[in-house]
Amino acid sequence: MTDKETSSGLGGTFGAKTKGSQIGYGHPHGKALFDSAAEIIRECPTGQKYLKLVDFKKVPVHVIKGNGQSGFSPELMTIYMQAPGNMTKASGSFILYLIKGLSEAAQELAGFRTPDPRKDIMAYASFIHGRNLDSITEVCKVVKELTNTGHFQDLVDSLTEMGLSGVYKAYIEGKSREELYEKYASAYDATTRGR
Amino acid sequence: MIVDVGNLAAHFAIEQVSPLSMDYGSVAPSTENGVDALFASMERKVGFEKHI
Repeated sequence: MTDKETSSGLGGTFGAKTKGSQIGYGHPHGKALFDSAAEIIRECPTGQKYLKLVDFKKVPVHVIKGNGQSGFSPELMTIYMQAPGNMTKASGSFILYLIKGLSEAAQELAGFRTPDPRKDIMAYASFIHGRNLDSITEVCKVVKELTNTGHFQDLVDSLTEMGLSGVYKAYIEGKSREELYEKYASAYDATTRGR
Repeated sequence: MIVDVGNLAAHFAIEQVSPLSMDYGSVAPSTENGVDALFASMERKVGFEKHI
C-alpha cells in the first residue's frame, strides 16, 4: 500500500494510530463502528448508492474519539465521525450522521462547492441551508427505505432526538421541498436556541 | 458540519443567518439532479473499467 492510499483511502481511514505530526485522535473501535453502520446502511438502495463514495475511495471517513458533532468537512473533503471511546457498535445517530455526511460529500463532488463565508454571508447561508435540507432529506429517504428492518425504530428515535421528527413526518407524507424547508428551519431554530 | 479554527468564519456566518429568517426562494436550489448525475457517471466509469 502506498503512502497516498494510507493517508487518503480506506487503509488510513480507521486506524487508531497516526504518524508524523498527526495527533492520535483515532477511535480504538473506529473500523467496527464504521462497519456496523455500513452493514445497516447497505440494506437499502439509497444507502448502497452513498456507500459507493467510500467503496470507490472518493471520500475518506475518519472515526475519532469525542463527544462533538460529526460531519463532512468541505475543506478537507473528509467525513469526520465522533463517538465516545467506549462505543463499539454504531448508534442510530452515528448512522444518521454518516448518511448526512455522505450526502454532503456527494453534493460537493457533484460540483456544488461550498462558497467562502468571508466573501458573502448570505450566499453561504443560502448554500448551507440548501445543502442541509437536501442531506437531511436523503437521511429521511434511507430511514424510510429501512422501514421493514429491525433498525427502523432506533433510527426514528434518533431522528427525534436530533429534532428532525417533523421533517421526517413531512417527508413520508410526500410534502414539497419548500414545506420540508419550513420544518427544517423550525428544527434548526429550536436546536440552536437549546444550546 | 465540523467546526475547527479554519472554519470559524463559516460557523459565525451560519449562526448569524437562521433559516427561519430566509425565504425559501433565497435558499439554494435542490442538488438532487446533480448528485444523480455524479452517481451515474461513477457507474459508467466502473462499467467501462470492468469492460476493458
